[in-house]
Amino acid sequence: MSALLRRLGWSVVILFGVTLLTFVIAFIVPSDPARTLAGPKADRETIASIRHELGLDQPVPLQYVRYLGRLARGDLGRSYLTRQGVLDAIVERLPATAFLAIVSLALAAVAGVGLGCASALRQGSALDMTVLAGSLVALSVPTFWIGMLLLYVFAYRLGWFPLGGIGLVNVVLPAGALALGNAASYARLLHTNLRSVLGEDYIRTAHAKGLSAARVYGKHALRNALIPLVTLLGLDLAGLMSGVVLTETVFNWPGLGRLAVEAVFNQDIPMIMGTVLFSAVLVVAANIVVDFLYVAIDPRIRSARQ
Amino acid sequence: MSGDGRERRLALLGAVMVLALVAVALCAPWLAPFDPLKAVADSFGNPFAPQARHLLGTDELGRDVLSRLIYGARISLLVGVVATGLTVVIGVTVGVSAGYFGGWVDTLLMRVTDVVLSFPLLLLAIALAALFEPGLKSIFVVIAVVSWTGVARTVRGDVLSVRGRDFVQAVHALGAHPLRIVLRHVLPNVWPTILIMAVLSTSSTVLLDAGLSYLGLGVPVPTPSWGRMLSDSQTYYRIAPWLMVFPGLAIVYTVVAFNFLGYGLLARSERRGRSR
Repeated sequence: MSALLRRLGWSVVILFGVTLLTFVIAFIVPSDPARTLAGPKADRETIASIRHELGLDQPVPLQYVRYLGRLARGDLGRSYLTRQGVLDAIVERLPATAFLAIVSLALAAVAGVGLGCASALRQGSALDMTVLAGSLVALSVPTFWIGMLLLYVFAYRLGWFPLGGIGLVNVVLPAGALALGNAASYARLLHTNLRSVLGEDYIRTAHAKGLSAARVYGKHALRNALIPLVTLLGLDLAGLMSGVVLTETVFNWPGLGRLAVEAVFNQDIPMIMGTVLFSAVLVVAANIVVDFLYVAIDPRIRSARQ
Repeated sequence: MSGDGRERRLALLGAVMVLALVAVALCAPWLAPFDPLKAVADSFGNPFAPQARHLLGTDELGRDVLSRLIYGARISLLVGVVATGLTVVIGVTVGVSAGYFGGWVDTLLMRVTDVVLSFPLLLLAIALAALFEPGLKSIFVVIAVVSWTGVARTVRGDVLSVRGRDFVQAVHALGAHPLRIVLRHVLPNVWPTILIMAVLSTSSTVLLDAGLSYLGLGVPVPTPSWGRMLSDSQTYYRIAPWLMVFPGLAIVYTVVAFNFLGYGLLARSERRGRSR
């Protein structure tokens, strides 16, 4: 358990690092943060008031502490375009992104696990080669381009799906585009894991005991091969948030990614940094959850750490 | 052994694909049938479909798509090579320092790596791109700043294992300067890893650059870039779908080429490492 606590402690350190990096990018990198924050059209008075509002005349370490204080109160600043609170805007857009991400992860898991198993059980077959080469190609395709093609073929030409909008039918195409890369990496990883698990003694024992193939593969092999996939989830969330930026732009999906891109176009720095910080914190949180999950599902780690 | 042959074929195929692309980029002025920046067809607002004179059609401004694709290879490769070079320099510096010095240096550098890894790559990149002046130099820096982490982690791992070997301990015992040990004895043993990581990073750099260009944060117009061509094509996708097909294929070709080469080399070196 102490190892888990230590990792939790490191997560807190990383969380501070995340805020520090965000702070540096937003307030130190620009030559005049007040001007950058205010946008190109702001007059001197606005800039002066922002400078005062943010305490930019104070020493940098103190500024960082005050920044942390604001974050602790959930104050991520205000949009310089709409004056809406950044956190409010994020909370407003979060459900759409979460919906898209969850459907996409589910699609990727089903496709990746299915293809990974099929190719591992039929080593050397045409299917095996196709899945391996196909996954390498799938990892090389830009998410947004797949999105554009899906949109053209299935929404515009065939008319099977609506163009734009948000809902259960509308989510299929963007989630599919977003799932492709993850499905490919899951298939590859599961293939490798399953191959090594199938060579283990306990699998031979299970076969020798006279268990059915379905039981050996399903209960003994798959369970052990799936465990390392769980560790991927944390980093996958980071990848997913990157993918979301492009996918949401292609499909005009009103989520966090779209919010960030719009903020970039409007040079709305508080909004940009807010979404960046929020998603990084989300990733750190996901990694903590993964650490706990990992211990919960793998008894070997539990006993090794005690 | 058949597995080894499969990997060699994959790496070889990747190498040939990369060389072909480099040749196209270098010979762009002779290969491109038209000036990529000028309107060469009367197709304003009404792109021409692929035809004998314009093999891949023309865009909404009357420019030849094939010529723009060929010149786009230059930008894509330039960004791929320079940004990846920067990425590798940062990654190797961090990885070697962490792996060689160990202790608090290692802890600090690896936590910094974890921090950067916590940020979604593309989100961090667009945030940085929004702050810098648009242009090639900014793209190089932005891509390198967000993507050195993978190289750093892998190189650190390799350096750790090399550092423990007898010959490094021996030169250390002889009183050699740490910088000399790193440059003369550690780095040469890590080169294969660095090379493979560089090839694999190039493919992700090209993808990242395409994404940034698509979002309008790449090289400024009118320089032809594949990502930008894709985002421009969206206005005309109903009447001119070829505008979105060919630049996408060019990106996929490039990324696949570097991935084949990289994964082929990686699988071979892992196999050798196991049998050693």
